[in-house]
Amino acid sequence: MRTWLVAFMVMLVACCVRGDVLFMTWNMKWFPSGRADLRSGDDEESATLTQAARIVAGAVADQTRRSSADIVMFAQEMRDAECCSNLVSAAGVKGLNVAAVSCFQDNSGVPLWQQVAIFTTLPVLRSGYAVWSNAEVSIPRGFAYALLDAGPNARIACFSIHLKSNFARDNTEFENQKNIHKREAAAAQILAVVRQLGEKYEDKKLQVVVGGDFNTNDDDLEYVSEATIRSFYGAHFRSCFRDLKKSQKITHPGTNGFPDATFDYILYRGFERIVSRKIYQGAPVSDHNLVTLRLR
Amino acid sequence: MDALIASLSILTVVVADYTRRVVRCSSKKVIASIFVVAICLSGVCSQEGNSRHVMGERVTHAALRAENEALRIENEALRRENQMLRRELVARKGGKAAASDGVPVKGNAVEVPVPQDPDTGYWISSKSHIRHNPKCRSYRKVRGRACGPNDGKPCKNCGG
Repeated sequence: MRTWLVAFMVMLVACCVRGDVLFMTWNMKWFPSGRADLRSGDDEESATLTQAARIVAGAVADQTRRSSADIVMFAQEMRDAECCSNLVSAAGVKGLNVAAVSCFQDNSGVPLWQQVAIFTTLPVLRSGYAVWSNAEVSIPRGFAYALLDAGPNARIACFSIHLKSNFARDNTEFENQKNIHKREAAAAQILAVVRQLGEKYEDKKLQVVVGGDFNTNDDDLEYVSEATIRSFYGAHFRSCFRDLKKSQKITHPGTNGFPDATFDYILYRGFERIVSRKIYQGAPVSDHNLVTLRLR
Repeated sequence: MDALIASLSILTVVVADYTRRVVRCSSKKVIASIFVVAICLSGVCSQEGNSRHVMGERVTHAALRAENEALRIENEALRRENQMLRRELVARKGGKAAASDGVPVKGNAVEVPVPQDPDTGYWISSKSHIRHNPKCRSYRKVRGRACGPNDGKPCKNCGG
């Protein structure tokens, strides 16, 4: 009788205590060719795919060595849905599936090769993508989203984003300010969606995670006037790099005279605590590193 | 500050010695009086420790905290102002590069049909608008779409 009681209690605790979720974000640099708007040879792309899959699988194995966790990965600069499926298959992570892939297009209706995606092992309740909509400026790309079932009475809303770069054609201050404005407008749109979701799932516990390449940060003086990431903090989001020194959070190693930078973030809300966080080297696949964050 | 502590310490010793000799009280009472003076001294010291000289002006930690908070609020206000100015600047000077991206928007989500590329035998690059034919190594290798025989500029290598 006592044994049955203990077993029942253990099952009850197991049902009530939710496991960790491992979040990852990686800008994969024009995956799988590695070159802007250009395909590489099949062999070259296949090699890149294998290397990328090895990095992803290695990070997952490392982070789930001690105890298992559900996985959510945000990927950016993916060519198309096929590349995403290929990567997930090659990584061979048990239960990992493509939840959402965007299909952003240019003005002539041709799909861009900088899509964003979400892969997960959790059940997907709803997923899709949206372009940034702004009346004042045209903002490239958009976001992919997925609403995930994280157990009884719990939902995780995930957003994979790739915000406007700092590229300015004529390198004027106006262009710089325009880029900042585009990122701020994109952040405002995400936060508006988060607010809507909060109203919709009021009765259920809603956790929100936004991951991706923000192309800005809250450390460098260059972005001191920018409110993109700070607007998330204002909405009670927390950064995966909280309390870390600048040297401990390099996600975009410096090249061609550009210094090391933190551009890739995972911002979260509604989780108890950070269990672990680590940055994995993204080279030779990408110029960005793979960021992992395990949350409870 | 150091001179103040030294002089107070000397004063304490003198007072303790005088009390012991003149008043002829017990050594326990002397120790107690020294203890009281020491506590007073530590209070003075801790108060002094919470202050700092900034540009020749003595400021306390509380004042620094208040100043820090004021700067934070000011910073937030400036950031908001910057945001508004940016918005105004972009609306006035730049405007929207393209009136529409040609993508139907439904609320926050969009449904975009995946375009199919019929095999017309011609391929036009999205960026350079150069037309390629199947003999060209750029045919279907660059990001673009299928096109007609007269669309865009012909490729210099393959003739388009």
